Order: sequence, then structure tokens, then C-alpha cells
Amino acid sequence: MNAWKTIKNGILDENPAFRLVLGMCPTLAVTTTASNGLGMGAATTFVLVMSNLFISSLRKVIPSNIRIPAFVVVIATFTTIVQMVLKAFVPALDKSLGIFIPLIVVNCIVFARAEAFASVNPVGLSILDGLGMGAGFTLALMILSSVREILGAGTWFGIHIMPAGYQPMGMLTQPPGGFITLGIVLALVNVMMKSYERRKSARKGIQL
Amino acid sequence: MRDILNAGVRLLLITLVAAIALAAVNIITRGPIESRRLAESESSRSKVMPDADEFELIDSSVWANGGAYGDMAEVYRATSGGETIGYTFLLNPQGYKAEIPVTIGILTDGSIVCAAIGDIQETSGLGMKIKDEPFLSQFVMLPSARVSQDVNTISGATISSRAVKTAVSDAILLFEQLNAIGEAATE
Repeated sequence: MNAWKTIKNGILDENPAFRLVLGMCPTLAVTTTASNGLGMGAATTFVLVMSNLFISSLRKVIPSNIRIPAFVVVIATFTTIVQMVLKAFVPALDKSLGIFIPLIVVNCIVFARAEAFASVNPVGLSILDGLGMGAGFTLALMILSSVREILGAGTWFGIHIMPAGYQPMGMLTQPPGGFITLGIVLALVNVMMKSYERRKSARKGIQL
Repeated sequence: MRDILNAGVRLLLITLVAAIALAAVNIITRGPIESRRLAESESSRSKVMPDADEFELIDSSVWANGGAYGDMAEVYRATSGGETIGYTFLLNPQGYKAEIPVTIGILTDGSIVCAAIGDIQETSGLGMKIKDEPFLSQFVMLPSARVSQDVNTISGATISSRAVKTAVSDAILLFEQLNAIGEAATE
């Protein structure tokens, strides 16, 4: 698998939130504003890249029977680093993301990539996989949080963009709104991916 | 046996390196986190007591007798030119989702200057309204005896607004006691 394919895999073919449906807890919980979505995506990407990097470089010295605790230690270390750095230098983000920063430790995406990719692939590819998966997750959070913030509060990144007469649909920023938005966006993404695959296979048919 | 030992030592090494890395990051971030916390409580104190030029922490042993004052966390005596002009109270009552940090300033004559809400995680559009003007301005210059009658709760956010009201009432209770002690001491 080459470099570009590895990145693209994380963003499109195996987008963690839309295709693998992993990491749903932060996906639903923090996507109330676009800045939260971006912050959560960036924090998760950092942990993904760093844990992939370390787990991949340690893959030959970690015996398979203790790999799970070893992965947890590596992931927890980077999550705690993110948490302390955010608290010290970006307190606003730390406050709005709250408990979901420490919960990156148990984010299935991070763990799945450690187990399925980083522990069996070379360091370079593992970093790219972390970047791709992180970008895919961030993209998904951005789409969801933008829809929810624009329709639910009339703002985007905290700036008013809807006309003054617009009555915000407050429910969209609540948990039920998260489920509804996620369902609709998932359905749309699936429709788009299906037609994309159909076109791709049709093109291949002509070439044959 | 050898396998177990081998795995154990490797895991120990990994956790050791992780602990050292975390300690290093902690050394860097500890200072900014602490100073930010202090600056935040300082700025909310000046907000509820704008005329004061100095705040002096009153030790909790002076007032903490059996937790009679709800979720009281910190009490400061506000002075201006060496003279006591009032007190500020920080309380952390339980809100709908998490604790609500409420700072209240009360002048020595018993009127509330105003109340300030710290960082809260209440429901947006409902409980979050306790941070806004129509609710908080009800406390401005309110005689302490009128809190329970004159402050309206926000519909849809009863728990959050009640938490703030209770915090203000607790602060008033403690204020009355402090004022009594203070007057006795000066006389």
C-alpha cells in the first residue's frame, strides 16, 4: 500500500466515523459547535499519530501477550499530554471538550489503528495511517458540528451567519439532534460512496 | 516463568518511560495551569467587587462550622484603602450537569453588588442562560432579604437557576455571620 493510498483510506474508504462507525461517543457528544469538532479532531489526530508512531517502532520488542496493556500505556500517555497542554495553553477548548479529552484513551479508533495497523506495519506508513485516520475523523466531526451549529444556533465558529430572522433549532445542539444529524449524514455519505463505486466499476468495465 | 519475567520487565520499561515523559510535560504545564486558575478567580472577584483594591483570603477555620454554608469554597474580605467594604464568596453548587462556580460580592451594608458565573457545562439554550443578563441582573444591588421572593428562575432551567439562588442565599447567611464577627472585633 503506498503513501497516498494509506492517507486516502483513512479519509474516504475507511473513514472512521462514516465508514467504520467507530468513535461514536465523541462524535455525538462534542459536535455541538464547529470549534469543538475541530479541537476534538486535532487532539485525536495528535494521539493517533503519536501512538501509531511509538507502537509501530516498538512492535518488535512488545511480546504479543502484553501488547494490549502496552498499547494502553502508550495511548494514555499521549492523551494525558494533550490534556495537560490544552489545560495550560488552550483553556477555552479544554473547558468545552471537558471529559472527552481524557476519554480519547478509550477511543476505539486509536485502539483499532494500533492493533490493526501500527502493530504490523512499518513506522512511516503507520504515521501516515494516523494522519489519514485523524484527518478523516476531523472531517467527519467538522461536517457534523457545522450542520449542528449552523442550524442549531445560527452561528459557525461562534460567528453569526444566519439571517437575523432565523429561529435556531435548539434541539440540534442537544443529544437527540446529534443522533438525527449523524443518521442523515451517514445515509448521505453512503449514497455518495455507492454511486462513486458504481461509477468506478463502470469505468473499469469500459476499459476492459 | 522466563516469559512472564521478560514480558513484565518490558512492560515496566514502557511504563517507566511513559511516567518520565508525563513528569516532564507536567513540569512545563504546571505553572501556566496554576497561574490561569488564580487569574480566573482574581478576575471574577474584581468583577463582583469593582471598588476593592485588595482581597484578603479569610481562612475557612473562621467560618466552616459543620458545613452550614452549602457549597462555600472561598471567602475573601474586600478592602479599599485599608477599609473593609465587603466580602466576596465563591461557591460551587451542583447544577444540572456539573458544579456551577458562583462568585458573589456583598457590601458591608448587606446589598449584593452582583453575582458572576464561572465556567459551566449546563444545557445550551436552557441552563446556560444563567450566565446571561436578564437572570444575573436580578441580583444587582438586591437587598439580601429579598433573594427568595424577587429572583425569578428561568423556565426550563429550574435546577440551574435554583442552584445559583441557593448559592446566593448561602453567601448571605455567611455574610451576616461574618459581619457580626467583624463588628464585634472592631468595637
